[in-house]
Amino acid sequence: MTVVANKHKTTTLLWLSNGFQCLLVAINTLAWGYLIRNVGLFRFTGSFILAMVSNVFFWITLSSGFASVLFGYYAIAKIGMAKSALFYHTGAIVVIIVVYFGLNERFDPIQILAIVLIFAGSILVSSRPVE
Amino acid sequence: MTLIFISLWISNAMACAFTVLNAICWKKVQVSIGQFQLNLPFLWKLTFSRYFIIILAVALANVFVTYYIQAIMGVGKGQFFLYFGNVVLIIANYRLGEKFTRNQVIGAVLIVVGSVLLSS
Repeated sequence: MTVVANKHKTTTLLWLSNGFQCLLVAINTLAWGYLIRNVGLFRFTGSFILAMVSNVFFWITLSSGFASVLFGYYAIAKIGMAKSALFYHTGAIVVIIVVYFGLNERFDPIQILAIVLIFAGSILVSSRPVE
Repeated sequence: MTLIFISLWISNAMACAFTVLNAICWKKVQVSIGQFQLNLPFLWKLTFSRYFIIILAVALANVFVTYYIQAIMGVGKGQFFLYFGNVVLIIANYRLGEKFTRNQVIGAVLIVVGSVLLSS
């Protein structure tokens, strides 16, 4: 009975954490998009850096990115490396959804193929040998 | 076109170096103050760890590189292009004594091919 309860608790924690991490990724991606739209192309000038750091989306990008990293380490400590890798992969799907619907970015067939290859590659790279 | 391609890959190489440095610093933080916990005493210790200062500096430098890549490629493609850091991370782990698995090698090749396609 206790084993089943613990398993449910772990599964709930896993999905709650995953949902929270996806939310952070979505906020981060949207903030990047709006920051770049507001500030424009990168330039090595003081005025550019000033415009960048004084934009509210810069701070949203930094804080959501940093919270995501901290939360990732917390997830690794709580549920282990193998299960927390799930966050990383669902985050990639969230990025695609957010840039498509939130930022109106479009991909041509070659770019879709490239993204599929990178996504599959990152799943394989994060796989661990069975001990 | 070629100049943009080269500048994107130089930026990606810099982002990879930052990723590796970041991973090393997080490992050092873990060794010095223990496993990550979500409580105030731990976060306090984390803030005053010297490696954490390096992590913040590296993250800030990484923001500029990431900005450049995403401004050129678009946010979605840019973020996937930055996945190339995973390949560098497993090579760094290999240098630190960890063995590759066959899946990891296939995955690294897929990421390299995908990144080249995405940047060209």
